[in-house]
Amino acid sequence: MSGLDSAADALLAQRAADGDELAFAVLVRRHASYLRAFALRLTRSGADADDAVQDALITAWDKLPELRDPRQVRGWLATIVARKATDRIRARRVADDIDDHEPAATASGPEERAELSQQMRELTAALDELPDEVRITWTLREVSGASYDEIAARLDVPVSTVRGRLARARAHLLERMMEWRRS
Amino acid sequence: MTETNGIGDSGYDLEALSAYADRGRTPAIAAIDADPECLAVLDSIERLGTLTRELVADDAERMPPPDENWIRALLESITREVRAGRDIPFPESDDTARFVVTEGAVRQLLREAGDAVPGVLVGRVGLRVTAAPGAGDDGSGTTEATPALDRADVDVRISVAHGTPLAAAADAVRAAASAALLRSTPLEPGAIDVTIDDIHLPDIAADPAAEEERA
Repeated sequence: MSGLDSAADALLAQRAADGDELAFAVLVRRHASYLRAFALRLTRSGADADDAVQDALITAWDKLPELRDPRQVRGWLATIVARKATDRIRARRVADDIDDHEPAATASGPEERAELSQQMRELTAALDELPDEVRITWTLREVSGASYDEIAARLDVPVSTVRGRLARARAHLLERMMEWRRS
Repeated sequence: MTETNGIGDSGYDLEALSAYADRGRTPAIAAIDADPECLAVLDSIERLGTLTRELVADDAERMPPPDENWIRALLESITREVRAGRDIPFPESDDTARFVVTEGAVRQLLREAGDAVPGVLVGRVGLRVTAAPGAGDDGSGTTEATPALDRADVDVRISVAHGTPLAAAADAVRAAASAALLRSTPLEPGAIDVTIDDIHLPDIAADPAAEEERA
């Protein structure tokens, strides 16, 4: 089966849709880190991110036959991760332990990321200053490339709210960016 | 910048520019496209997006590779039944014992048969089973000694390694699929279509994590 490691995503997705678990495992190995990183940016909690990714992959297996364009499997997986992650965030909020979650980025503690570019560290800090719902909207738009309609549906808010949050995120980030340049 | 009064001389505020950027700057708005201050903001918006995607890609690269135990547990928790499809009975079945193969198992058999052809990776496998004439017809009262087999029409999509002769590969897959059906299923091969969907590089550098897995 080692030949599958060099197979394109589309072929693996089609095989997985037909029930090939090994092909699914190759997809998981290939994309798990990206999906976790994406989930971490959304949830800012290692535990929630891991749970969201795991739930998403289990759901993805069931829904793979519905995937229309198998070449887009990574983006499609990210969409499911986004759904699971936003569910977790909502549940967390209900549980009212929003301050309980461990500081984000299990793999990205500031000290381990000394070599991370100054710009990215500043961006991380600026993103962390955003309210959850604004950061989540921003991440869905910029990382997973979701449309306003998709984000609105996923977060259960009007499109005008999505538009407003993106403007808010950008206003804040642009302001910070200008400060970086000045400093 | 003052959001309420618009950016530059455009009369558009940041929310409008932000939405304009997300629409790919179409349809074009001349008042924005002609305003240097607006253009600078649009560029910054795009740079922020690029930087955010780089940030996540960078996060991903720093992640340890997924734990194999986790992957194994994940595979154990997925529901295999969803792909099993219908049961196809073997004619040897009788009142005391029923032997069946699932459509999912037949697909897997066909995948393995095709993968065994050098330079071939099987993608989607379409399978259509047509009941043999008279099968399930209880009215005649006749029991044939050798009942007609159900017929399998198969549509195999394959990717072929660059440099592999295409027609020969397709023929070999067709023959392998047919042989596998005869050998291991109660199905008579019908139309076996093989479509070459893709060409892949034979020795693509595999994902390093996956490479370690194999070792």
